[in-house]
Amino acid sequence: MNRQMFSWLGVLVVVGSMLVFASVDDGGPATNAERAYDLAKDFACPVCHGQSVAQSDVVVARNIRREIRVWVDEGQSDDFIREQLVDRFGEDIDYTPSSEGITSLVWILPVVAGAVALGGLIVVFRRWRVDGDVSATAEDEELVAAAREDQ
Amino acid sequence: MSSGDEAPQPRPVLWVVAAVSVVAALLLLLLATGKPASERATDGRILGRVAPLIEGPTIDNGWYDIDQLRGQWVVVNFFSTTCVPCIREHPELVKFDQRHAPTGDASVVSISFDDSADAVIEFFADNGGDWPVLTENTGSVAVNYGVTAVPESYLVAPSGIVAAKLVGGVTADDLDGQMARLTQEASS
Repeated sequence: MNRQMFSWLGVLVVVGSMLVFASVDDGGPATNAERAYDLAKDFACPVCHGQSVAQSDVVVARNIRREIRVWVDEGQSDDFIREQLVDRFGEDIDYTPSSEGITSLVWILPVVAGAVALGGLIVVFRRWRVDGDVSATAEDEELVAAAREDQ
Repeated sequence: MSSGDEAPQPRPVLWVVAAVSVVAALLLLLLATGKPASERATDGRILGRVAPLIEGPTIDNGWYDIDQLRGQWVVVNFFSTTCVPCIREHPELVKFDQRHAPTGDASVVSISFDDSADAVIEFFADNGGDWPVLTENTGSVAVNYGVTAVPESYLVAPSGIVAAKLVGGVTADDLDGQMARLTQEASS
């Protein structure tokens, strides 16, 4: 295995480790209040610009926070709470878009773009490699042989 | 044959750039022509559904249950004592209530939006209005109706279905007009 391969392997290990650390579960919220707050961060305030339900202090955000807390205390699942709020205020309230319908493009497009970019890189690298191949002609070999004889 | 006579080579990069540009342009068009999120949030998602439950104590120590009013039109009015359009629409609600009180074919219920009970009692004492007003646990009712701002009113049909959503203040004539239109639509 050459040095270049080791470098690539190193990059792969670092990126892989980062992905694993980023996706590892931190144990989840410890209390209902924490869970309600985490959920509130996942929803946009319906009448604010760029503020989540957790951040905003307008009446509708406070009402939604209170309702989330009620649902959490009742033991409802995150999916249930998400469905209820999307049903009442629309898909735009949800910071985690659905994987169905037109909103699925949000998930699909980055994957397609990544695949296209990766494919493009592979094509370019292979082309560079082909262009970089240098083979000696018979004339070159004769020149080298002549030079060796002269030594 | 000279190199100038050769057929032009395909340019895959150009095709990729063109395709990406078209997709980007379509996305931009979609974003530019869509309604802002704040407006979409106020769309009447509840229309055509059974009216969410409104049940609880009223400011005059009574008890209100919207399900007990099947068979008549109900105007569910979300308001605040400090909101100017709410203050402006209030006399119209009084007029509507007085117009329908003798026949009993329509009624009003008011749900306070972030007001204290004392403020609401004072508001009705000053501005009139003799219909049920709820001040407790109203945040939950507002979320169930998808209310984002006041004044906002919902017209609940005698069948218990939410038939219309009226944003930004109502008049007695508007409400009667809506009821007549919806009755005609239902019968045709």
